Amino acid sequence: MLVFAAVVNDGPQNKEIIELDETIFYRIGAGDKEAFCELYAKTSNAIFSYALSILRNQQDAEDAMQETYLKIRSAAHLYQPEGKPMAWVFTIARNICLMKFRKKKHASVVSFEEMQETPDCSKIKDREDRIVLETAFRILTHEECQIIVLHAVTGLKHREISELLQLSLSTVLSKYNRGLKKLRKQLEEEL
Amino acid sequence: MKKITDSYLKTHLKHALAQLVPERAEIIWKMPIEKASGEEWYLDGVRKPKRHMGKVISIMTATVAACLVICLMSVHMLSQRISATIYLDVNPSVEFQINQKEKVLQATANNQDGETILEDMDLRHTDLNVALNAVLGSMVKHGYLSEAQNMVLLSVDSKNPQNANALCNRLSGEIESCLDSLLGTGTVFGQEVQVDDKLIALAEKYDMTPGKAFLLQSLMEANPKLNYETMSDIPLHQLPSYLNEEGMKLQDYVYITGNQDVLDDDTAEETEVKASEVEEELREETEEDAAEAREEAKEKAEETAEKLEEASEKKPERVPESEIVQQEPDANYDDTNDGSIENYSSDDLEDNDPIVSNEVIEASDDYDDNDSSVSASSDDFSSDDEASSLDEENDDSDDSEDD
Repeated sequence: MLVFAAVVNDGPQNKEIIELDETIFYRIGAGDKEAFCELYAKTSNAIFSYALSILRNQQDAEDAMQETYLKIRSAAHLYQPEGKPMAWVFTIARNICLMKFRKKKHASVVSFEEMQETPDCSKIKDREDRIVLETAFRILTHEECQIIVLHAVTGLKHREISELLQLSLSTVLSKYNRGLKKLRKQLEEEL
Repeated sequence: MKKITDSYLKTHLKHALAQLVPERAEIIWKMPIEKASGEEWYLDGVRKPKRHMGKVISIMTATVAACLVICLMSVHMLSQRISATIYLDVNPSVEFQINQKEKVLQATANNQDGETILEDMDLRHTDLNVALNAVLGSMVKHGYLSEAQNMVLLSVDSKNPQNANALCNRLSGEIESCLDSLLGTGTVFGQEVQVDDKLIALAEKYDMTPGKAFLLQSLMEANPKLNYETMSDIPLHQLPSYLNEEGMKLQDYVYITGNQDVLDDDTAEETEVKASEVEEELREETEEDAAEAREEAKEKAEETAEKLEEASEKKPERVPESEIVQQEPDANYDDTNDGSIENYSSDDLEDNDPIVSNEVIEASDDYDDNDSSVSASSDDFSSDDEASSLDEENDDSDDSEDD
């Protein structure tokens, strides 16, 4: 049962669509490992990227992603089909990331502005990929980074992003365009 | 400088992030978990399914609606539930079934006279007081109640004895007041009864209410010499004296409200005499009125006959047709001299005293025969018959002129 399709525009020639069958959660709740691996394969990139855009730290993002999938396994039997399975997954991921972010903020003596970390991009082989990622995490605000990453990686629509981040649609569109403009300007100088 | 597009940015971001995603599916699957209950903090913001809420809302709505329907039905059933039955016996016998609010649910006649009383009356949903007043007024109007016959038997049947007693006392007073206002005096015999199927059968047999049947039953239980056939024929206003002769007192079986003199033998006898006198007077008056009417009719008939006779004497004799002489028209007859045909000119008016005013002359000068709006030709007639009748009229007028 196809209930969600996230269109990721990877250039004009490559248009990837994330298809997620809602029954996958019932199967995971019933202890189906293959269903869980299928879910992980389709959604891990999106969840990790989103976690990284919030936490700005790779280790923290990996931990958050891992905990997200554990909670998905715990609550899979509670899933009620609504036609938006990715929204359900991202809500869990967001709650976990925000909880981690608050803990980190309270525990650390470093200010919020100083927490503007950039992920370790040494593992990224392509130079342009690395520069784009580093620049995005360096010059974009938290919200701009989240919005652009969600739109670019997960294929969520601006309306769905506004619901997930609990921002108005106009705010999401504004921050998205502004963020891309900043990135374009900066990268045109660097590249 | 390289041209950076949005598509370029998104593509490279996605590729970069994809290289950072760890592969932990196997590790995560092996980790122990606890089944969630649904109230966990990480499920905050998860939208609850509309279907569930809708189901809950619809169930709640259905429950509320069902409760409302049950309440309304209960109220309706209570309002339709018979609280008491009121029986009235004079000679007409009627009964009222009322609810807790003393609204009449049904009014029934128990004999022919009762049907006369209730004729054209729809007493359903009216207050009992209003219904009683209407029925008593109708009894007076139809002559069943009068100054000489002003007694009413009131019987109240209620499952609640206290309610029956209170109702009987109150209604007795109200009926007595009504009789006072209508007749100047009145007496109410009140009783509380318990009606069963046997009483209902007796009541139907003897054309009375079960209330009166209850009273007669009580009397016969006290005095076996009495029987329904005899007792049912005794008018209510004669019942006290009849019982007195049997050594019984009516007030031992009913409450008396109003004029208690009717229980006295002498008074009862006077009342009986008075009642018969009143009946006689009424009879005489009626006979006198009838005789007067017959006399008047006779006189009128005689007058009419006289008039007809006179009219026939004055009628002229019919002239036989053979004696009618047809006169030839006078060829020299000048119509203008006798004024029958008016033909004026302005010269004539100046010389002679005008018969018509100058305004008419002016109007006649303005008159144009050729004006289509006032033209009248044979074509204007809708039928030949009209034209022929007009010709006949003209011929007749000529004939009368000749005469």
